[in-house]
Amino acid sequence: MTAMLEARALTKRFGGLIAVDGVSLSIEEGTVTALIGPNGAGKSTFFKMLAGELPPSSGEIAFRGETITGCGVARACRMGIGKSHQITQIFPSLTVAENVMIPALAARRGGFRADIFGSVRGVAGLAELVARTLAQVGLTERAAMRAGDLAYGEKRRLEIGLALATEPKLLLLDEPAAGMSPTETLETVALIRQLRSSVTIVIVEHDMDVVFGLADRIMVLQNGVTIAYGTPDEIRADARVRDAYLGGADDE
Amino acid sequence: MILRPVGDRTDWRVEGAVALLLIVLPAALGAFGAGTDLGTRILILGLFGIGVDLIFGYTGLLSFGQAAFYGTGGFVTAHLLIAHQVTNSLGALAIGMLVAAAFGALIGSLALRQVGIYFAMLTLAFGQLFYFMENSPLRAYTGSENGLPGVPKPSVGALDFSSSLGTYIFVAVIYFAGFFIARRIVRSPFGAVLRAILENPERALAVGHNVPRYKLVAFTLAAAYGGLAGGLLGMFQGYMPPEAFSIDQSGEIIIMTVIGGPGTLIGPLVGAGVWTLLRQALQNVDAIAGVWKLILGVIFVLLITGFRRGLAGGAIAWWQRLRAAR
Repeated sequence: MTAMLEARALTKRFGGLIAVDGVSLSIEEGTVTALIGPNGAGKSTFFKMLAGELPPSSGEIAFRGETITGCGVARACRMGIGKSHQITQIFPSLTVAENVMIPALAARRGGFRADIFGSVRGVAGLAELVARTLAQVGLTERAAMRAGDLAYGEKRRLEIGLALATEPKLLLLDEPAAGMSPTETLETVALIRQLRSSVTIVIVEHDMDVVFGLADRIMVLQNGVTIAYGTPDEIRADARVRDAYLGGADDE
Repeated sequence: MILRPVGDRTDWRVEGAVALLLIVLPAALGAFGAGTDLGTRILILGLFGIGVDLIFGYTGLLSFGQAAFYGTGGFVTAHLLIAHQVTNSLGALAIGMLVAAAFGALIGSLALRQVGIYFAMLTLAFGQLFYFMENSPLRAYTGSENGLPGVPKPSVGALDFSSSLGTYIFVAVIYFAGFFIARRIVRSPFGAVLRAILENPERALAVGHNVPRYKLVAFTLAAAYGGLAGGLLGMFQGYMPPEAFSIDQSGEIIIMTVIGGPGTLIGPLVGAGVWTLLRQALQNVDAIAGVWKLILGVIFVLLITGFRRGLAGGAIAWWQRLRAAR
């Protein structure tokens, strides 16, 4: 099987600091890959480079055989890389349905169109995509509510919904369970389990139950380099990971 | 599930209400002892303000240089008519509007490389550049500080709009068309993306929208509205004033939009009405003649403090609460 996403020797420097140092990762279609590592390991920076939010200082990213290094977030998104953010990034004074409609518009009518006399009802397939996404993240009942008025857990689900409504082929989830109660975390895990049948997923997460319960492959980062990569069982058995992260002196 | 245009809460009743307002405005102003001409002036500013609202109230772009387009449209239209290069009022307005839009696209493509306060400062600089161009290098066409006198009153074919009421009707019909089109724009998919940019530009970009291009088209549309309004100003006054290019003009239209209610389209008209009437009223009171600007300023501070979403925004929110309560 050829890889869906291929990151080769990605490096990101911020001035004198090397946040990510020559990290490679190959993601196969239909899998769930988890990135773990202590705070400051470079997970988020690596993730931002995959999503096109940050251009790498060196290295290359290929998505479905096409080089996308430094193409920018909007283009990466239109090519099929959707990301949900660690910090909720919604459109607070729009309704929940309108929130989901914004990425759906980009998916259904492209990055730009001057349809100033058009109608949202006239965009083919838009209503279906919005309705399907709302159902996926369990917010159908909240469709007409102002997004800023949602409960925290619902906002987090909407955050994932915004990424899903771009119709990604690769879904990047940055700490989807951050700040959630145990019940909400379980719901989120169930949601991701549902999604994995239709979309390839990469997830950054601190909650080890979430990571080991979902991932096919786990990559462990520390100080900007990969210290381990393998199946959950392999990672559990890896002595270096145990030292550096799982059982070691970690501030988490 | 039914998708509605973003922010849509109503239907054609909005257009109906605005049409009604335009019909009763001259009589209403008459009751306050103000003339029809004041209504025409308010409509011209309201039309100018629709463009400002499109970029400020709907897209979140604060420009301090909109007078550049008001002036450009005004002087191009006035010059064409005075020099008899175009005899048709509507044709001259259309050309003025297009030239203003072209400058809007040009300045937008430069200023929109920056965001926030840096964008605002660039628009301010471009606005001043246009003021200077009018005043010195282009004086042969613009009359410099004297402006252009002798702009013919509007007419369309055999229809003559030169009377005070006639000019009002001419401007009101164009205002209504401008309002109608702007309503279509903000309710379109394009308008939905503008609202997303206003709310969270980074996320609008991250979900795949070409945000810079949306901003540029919105800015160009705003320039077109400014140019059209400027053209009407010259026809209405029979004289195209250089002050149309001034920084005061750029600032006043933003204040009017904020007082009236950004993100409502009708807000700038309301703001222009309040501004113009208050100014007129205060200037006519002998006892406060010297400090009328100070009093106007205090009133505006109170209005903005009391109505965070502007007068029209506050009224719309009140009306929605009333309907929800029923």
